Amino acid sequence: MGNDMNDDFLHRLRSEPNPKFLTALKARLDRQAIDHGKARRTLFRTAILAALIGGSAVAVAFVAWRGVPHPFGGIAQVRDAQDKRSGGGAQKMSLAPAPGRASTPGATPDAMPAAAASEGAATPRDAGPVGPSAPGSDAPHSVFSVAGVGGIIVNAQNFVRRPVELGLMTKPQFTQTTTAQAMAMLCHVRGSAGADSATADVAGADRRMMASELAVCMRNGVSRVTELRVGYEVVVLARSKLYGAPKLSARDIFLGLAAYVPDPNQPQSLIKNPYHVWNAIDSTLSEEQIEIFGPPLSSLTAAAFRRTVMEAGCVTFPGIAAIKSRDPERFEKVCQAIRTDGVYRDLGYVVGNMVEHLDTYPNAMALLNLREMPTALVAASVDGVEPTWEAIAADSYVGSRTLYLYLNAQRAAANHALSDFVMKFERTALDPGSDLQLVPLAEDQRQIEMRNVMTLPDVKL
Amino acid sequence: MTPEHAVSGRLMEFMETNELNWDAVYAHQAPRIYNYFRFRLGRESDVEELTARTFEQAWRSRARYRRDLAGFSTWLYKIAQNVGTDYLRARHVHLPLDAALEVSAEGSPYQDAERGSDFARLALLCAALPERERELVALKYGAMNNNRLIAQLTGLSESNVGTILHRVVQTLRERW
Repeated sequence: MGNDMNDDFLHRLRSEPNPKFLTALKARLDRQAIDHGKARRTLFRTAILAALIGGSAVAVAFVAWRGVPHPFGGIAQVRDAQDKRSGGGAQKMSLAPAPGRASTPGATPDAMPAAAASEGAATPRDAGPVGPSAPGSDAPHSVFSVAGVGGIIVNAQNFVRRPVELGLMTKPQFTQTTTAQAMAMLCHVRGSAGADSATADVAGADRRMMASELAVCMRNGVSRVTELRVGYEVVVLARSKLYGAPKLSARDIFLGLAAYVPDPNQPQSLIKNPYHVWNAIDSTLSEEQIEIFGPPLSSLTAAAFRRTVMEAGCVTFPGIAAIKSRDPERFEKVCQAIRTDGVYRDLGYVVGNMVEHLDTYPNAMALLNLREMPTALVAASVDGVEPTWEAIAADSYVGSRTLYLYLNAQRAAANHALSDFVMKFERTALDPGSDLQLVPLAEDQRQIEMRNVMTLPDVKL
Repeated sequence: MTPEHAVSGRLMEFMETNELNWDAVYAHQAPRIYNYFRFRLGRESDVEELTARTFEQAWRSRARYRRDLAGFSTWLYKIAQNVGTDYLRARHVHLPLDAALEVSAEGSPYQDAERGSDFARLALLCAALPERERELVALKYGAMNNNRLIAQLTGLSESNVGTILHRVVQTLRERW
């Protein structure tokens, strides 16, 4: 039913209910809910609490007896970790000293013989925040730093949380930043690049390194850089399966969600987004209100969405696409600003109940990371491409981007904790069953990356 | 233990967390249900009463709502339809001509008068429509539902809903 039906006269006849009536009715409903729920919930809460306490006691006893599986290699014996922290007992961690490395307590683990000397010629490592461990520190607990985009940093932080809590490794220094800044930190660029005095051993990126960036690395003495693909960060707009998969273009989505859009009458000027129904954007779309539920705009998912889908829709307007190289900051502001007039509704705090929300609102969609999408929802196709695994791997789904790690291979050769972290993080990311919020690479690509993480070859651009 | 008491922890959690969302559900759906009854009855009186009755019934039985059987909107509008049908049966109200002249309370006096007058005119025109078509108009333009949901509520196919509505709107426009 499009506008050709000319039914505006009917829409105009709607009327808002009296606010006093709405408030009074809501108060009545709240009272009713409390009365009905009170007695029953007290009983069930008691039962659930008892079950939880009992279950927790059993779980704690089991864990204390058997040990805890953790991502840093098989089973980490809690008792061993406790012994280690208290200075006694044999170490049974997977973070074994590398061949040829000093393992005597008190030795400086990150002594970087040849590699450090060549790096130091450009920018002395010990001046940065990721210098060697303090004398007397536990040998395998080397420190290192990771800088990069949120998709890498948040996943990496989650990945190390448990071993750090168990005292199995020292918490790496994480810096969430842009890809360009992460590259600058990896390549020891100081000052104007925004990296200031900080350097990084690993850069997490949402694009490939540029040849110019690699040249800077070489010039600054970071002569061995390894590139590893981690996986795909994929965002979708999803709707309840009750109402079917929407078919949208990136341009439709941009026009539906951008804070400012080109004026249809003067495409060179931007106006505040006037669109509230989909078929006002494109007459072939349904006459449904634009309603998108999603996580906070500061979330990783929203950031990935702005960077992928919104930008793809934005560059379909030649006037805006033209400023991308001329004025990247302005381009980013125009293309990535999401409207705040209520069309995009932040429901981050009830993500667990997204399905119920979408069942309730037939025309509404949710912005989600593909890995978080419940099976009761169906993802929209964008530009005619559904977010299938094949489409993502073929790089044809617009809401997907490949995430990379760039590793200072010289540092990795000298810092076992760093190489151990990279190897295990990469192995986990490549595992289709991992908890990371990433879509894994194809099988043949996974094998290539596993080989790369073992051999740390120099990047070829 | 009755089946009602055999609620699992998981369901309990669902119900509890869902309580948070009922506020949003209410805020979103109350104006729609309200307007559904306005369009369905063709007048303002008793609309608040029927809206309240619908929500009270839904709130009372929301623990029994099963989303594996129906989307929430489908379920809520089914309740509204039943409430409306019971009301009309009891009152034998079919041609609410006098009440249709009532004026809405929103907007400026001029706008209200104009809208009220238009609404009265619509009520007159709708009164001549078959029951099913009045229901479709109320679900579409009162409740602002899409054709897919209306099809689920009425048992018609989605395309049939679109066709009927198209014809009805044309008819109303011609007589407007």
